[in-house]
Amino acid sequence: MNTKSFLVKAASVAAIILLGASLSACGKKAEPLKEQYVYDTTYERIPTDEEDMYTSATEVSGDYIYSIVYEYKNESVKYFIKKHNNVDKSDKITELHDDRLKNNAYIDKFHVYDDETVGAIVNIYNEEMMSSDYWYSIYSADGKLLENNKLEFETGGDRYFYIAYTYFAEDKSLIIQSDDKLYKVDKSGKMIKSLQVDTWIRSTEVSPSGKMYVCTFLDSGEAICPVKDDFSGLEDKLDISLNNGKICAITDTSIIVSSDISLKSYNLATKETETIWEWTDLDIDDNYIDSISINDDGTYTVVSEVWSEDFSGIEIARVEKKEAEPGKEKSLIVFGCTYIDQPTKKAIKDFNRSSSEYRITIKCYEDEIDDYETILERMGTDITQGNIDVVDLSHGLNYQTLVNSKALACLDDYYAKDINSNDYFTNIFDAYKVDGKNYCVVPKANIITLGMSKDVTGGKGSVTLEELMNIRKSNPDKEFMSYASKEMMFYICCIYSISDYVDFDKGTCSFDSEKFCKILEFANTFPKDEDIEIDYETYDEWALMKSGDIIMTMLYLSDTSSLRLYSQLMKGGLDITGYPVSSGSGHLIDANSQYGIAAKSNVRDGAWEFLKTLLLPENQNSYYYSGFPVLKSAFDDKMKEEMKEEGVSTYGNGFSQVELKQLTKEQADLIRNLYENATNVTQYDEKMFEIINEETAAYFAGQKSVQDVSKIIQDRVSIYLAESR
Amino acid sequence: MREKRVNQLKKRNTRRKLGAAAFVAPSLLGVLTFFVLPFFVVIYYSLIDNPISAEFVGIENFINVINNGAFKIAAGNTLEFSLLAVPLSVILSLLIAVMLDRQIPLRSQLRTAYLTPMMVPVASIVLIVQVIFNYNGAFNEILSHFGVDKIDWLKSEYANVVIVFLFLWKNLGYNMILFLAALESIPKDILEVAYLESASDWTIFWKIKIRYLTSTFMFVTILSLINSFKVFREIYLLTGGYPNELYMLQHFMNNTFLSLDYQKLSTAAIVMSFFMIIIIGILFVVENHFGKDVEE
Repeated sequence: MNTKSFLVKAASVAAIILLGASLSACGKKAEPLKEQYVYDTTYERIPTDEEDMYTSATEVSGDYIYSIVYEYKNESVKYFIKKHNNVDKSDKITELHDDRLKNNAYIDKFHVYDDETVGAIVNIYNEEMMSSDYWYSIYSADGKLLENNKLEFETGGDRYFYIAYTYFAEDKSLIIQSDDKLYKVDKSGKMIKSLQVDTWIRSTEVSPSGKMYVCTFLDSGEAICPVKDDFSGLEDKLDISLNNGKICAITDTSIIVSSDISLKSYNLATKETETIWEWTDLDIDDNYIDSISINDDGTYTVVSEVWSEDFSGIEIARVEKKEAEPGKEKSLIVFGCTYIDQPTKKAIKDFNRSSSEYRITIKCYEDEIDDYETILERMGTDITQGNIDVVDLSHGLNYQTLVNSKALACLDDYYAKDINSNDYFTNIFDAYKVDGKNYCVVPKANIITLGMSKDVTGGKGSVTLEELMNIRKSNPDKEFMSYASKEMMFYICCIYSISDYVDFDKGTCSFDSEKFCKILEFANTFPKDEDIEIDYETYDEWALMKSGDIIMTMLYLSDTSSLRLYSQLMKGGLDITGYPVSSGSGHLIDANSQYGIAAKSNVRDGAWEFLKTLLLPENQNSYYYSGFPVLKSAFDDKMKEEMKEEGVSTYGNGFSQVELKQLTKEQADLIRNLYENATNVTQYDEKMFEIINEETAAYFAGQKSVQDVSKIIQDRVSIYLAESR
Repeated sequence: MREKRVNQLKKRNTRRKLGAAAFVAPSLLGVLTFFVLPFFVVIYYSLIDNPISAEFVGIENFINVINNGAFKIAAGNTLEFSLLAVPLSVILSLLIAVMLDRQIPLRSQLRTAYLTPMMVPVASIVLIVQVIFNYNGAFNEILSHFGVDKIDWLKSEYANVVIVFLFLWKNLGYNMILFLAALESIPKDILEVAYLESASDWTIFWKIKIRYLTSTFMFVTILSLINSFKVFREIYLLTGGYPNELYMLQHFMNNTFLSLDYQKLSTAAIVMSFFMIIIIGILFVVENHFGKDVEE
């Protein structure tokens, strides 16, 4: 080989290596993403409920806001149409003169026509039939009843029939939507046509040109489908993904859809979807949107209802979407989740409002992907590639795997800087440490434990497997536990005491131990799932607890109500024993929510700033989140609040009712003791339990011996654990 | 004049080379992108701790993988299966080919019958195997009539028997065809001379036919070795990701991929490749030694 040829070949190999190295994440880190748009929003609030006057419906039309308000005085009701001029802020209130409205009547759907007459659907309760009659009534501009026609629907005698939506056309005909049906009605109230849809209709809208669209559920999931012009059925669904979405507004060229995460615009011509904004960008509660309209200048008007301690009424927000000023853009933090819950959304909204440097944008995988396994795989890939900054670990991701593969950032430095450990239940933080390091934030946690009748346990406060087995032997006729089956009892005794069989740190297991075999034999004394026949019409679980037939119950303590309830139900009182474990506490910590920061994130500081807010008193004290706070002062405040609860609350199970007494000091101390001494976490490794359940099924079916099954489980799980070392 | 001619030739050569390069470029790009580059990426991944911090760790990953309990089990099972299944596949397919090389009745129908398993989809095969060898399957049902206790065919030491049987059933046909083609390509005049010289069938087979089949032997062995790894599909469909008796190297790599442990995956792949290179190298040496005079 000559020198030139050698050099050419060597250069090629070097180029390939460099190219490969650069493609495999070598090199300098990318800059943080910057926000592209900002939203200038002005708010105007119009109180709707004055003294004795209440609003039942609202409509926005140009510069006017119309409301149907009613006044309840001296056991009689009067209805009014209120016209609010948004320019000069004046109000004009006109009474609707209609004797039918004085009692047992309701208007929540109406429209003001161009000629200023008012069309309304009047709901009059028919006491004899125990159902509602609907009337289509038209009132003049000065409130006189001009026309009144009863709407006759083919309800098949369904007394729960109701009108969900009404479209008032300018020719005074109607389109009415119920649960799963659409009706075309002429101006005399006569039904012309009806269209039955296979499933539930979530919402309906009609474009200015009269084209109707419904948001419904197909086999493939939520969808928006146009309605055929001849009202004979639905057309093919539009290519827009919905996540708990509904149609908010519609023009002849686009459909505006609101989902849990964002407001989107679907272009009917190009079939492309554009995200207008994420709800976390604005300080608007998207749960109570009345209407959204696109103004001629490209701004949006959002009308929503506000119900809070200090204000109830209508809020009109005018939103202008603008490009962010160069140099002043906030850095974007991507929050990755399988789905978004309301408390987290609120926390994000609050952070976006308060932070001048960062803004959180939500990447909700359920929005785009239907299959759960695919969601988890995609999330895992995005975490390792740095496409997500804050990771919601609460719904399915394997926290241990992510830590082992170094996909999550260590938060020790942040905790040391910002968290005073004396203020918190650090056992909760410690329970989620891996190799002694913090990789996540757990703002609130629950306690999973076992409760038994004190009559049986003697109030010991704990139970071993042998004691459980003896209790079973000496009470063979008792039901033991509600719906107690082989699978359930095995789950309780094994899954919640998994630390007895698996050392996750060392990667070893002992499923061929005598204790595990005993658990299988104990669980085998109960009936199979499919053999349990419960007549739900007569099965009164509470009565069985009071009589002492049910002596054990699983407790999921996210608040104090379960403790208070079962303390009154269990015969002899409730003894919180915990699960039968060999060492440590049998009470398990279950994170109500759990968040981490991706190791590849470029905005770790910003991500921590957000996560830190979840540990602050404002969020820890909030009743918006369920679970017990990890902040000690918030926990104690919560207990104090529940101890001084005025009156009683009543719980019922369909057979009887229990007046739930307020929390006692002893109970508060008990819960605190459980919470601050719990050290084990629920460790549900899906793959491992898939293996265990697969093999135990053969034993419970009587096909294999307990030794054979335990050996196979031991072999298979050993391989699984060894793999991850 | 001469110089002009030389320049013209040079230009023509350059044009030819550029033209050739243009035609080769798309395929070359594909091979580079999907074979060569990933090869180097795998090597790179095996030398760093994780794709996020990308710290060079030398051979630490290799030490971890070789010491990993699951990897050892997988390697042992894979070796055991290969040592059992590959020689059986080669020898049995050769014997069948020799048998079908003779003028026996239903010869062509038998050839077709042996090839048929190749056409059956894997999922169908797995379904049939489950029906037959499941703990509550047909085979145990038959055995129970003879008073034999049920055998857990897929989760006991008998699992190897089932999977070797499945492997042979699927692959014998193809190997048989290769041997058959090789047998038919042996020069007839040499065989005639041997017959005329009163050589026995055994002598002809051992001294002549086997020598001519040396390269085919190597090819079939390598093919069987590759197919022995592909048996992962059937095992995975029968027993899932963590079988207790049939846990192979492919399981290890598949599971590490699913758990995003790319370092372990890459390292295991390189270790496996290394041993494959050694094995194939040995085969080449053997083939070279025994088949040299045939080529000459």
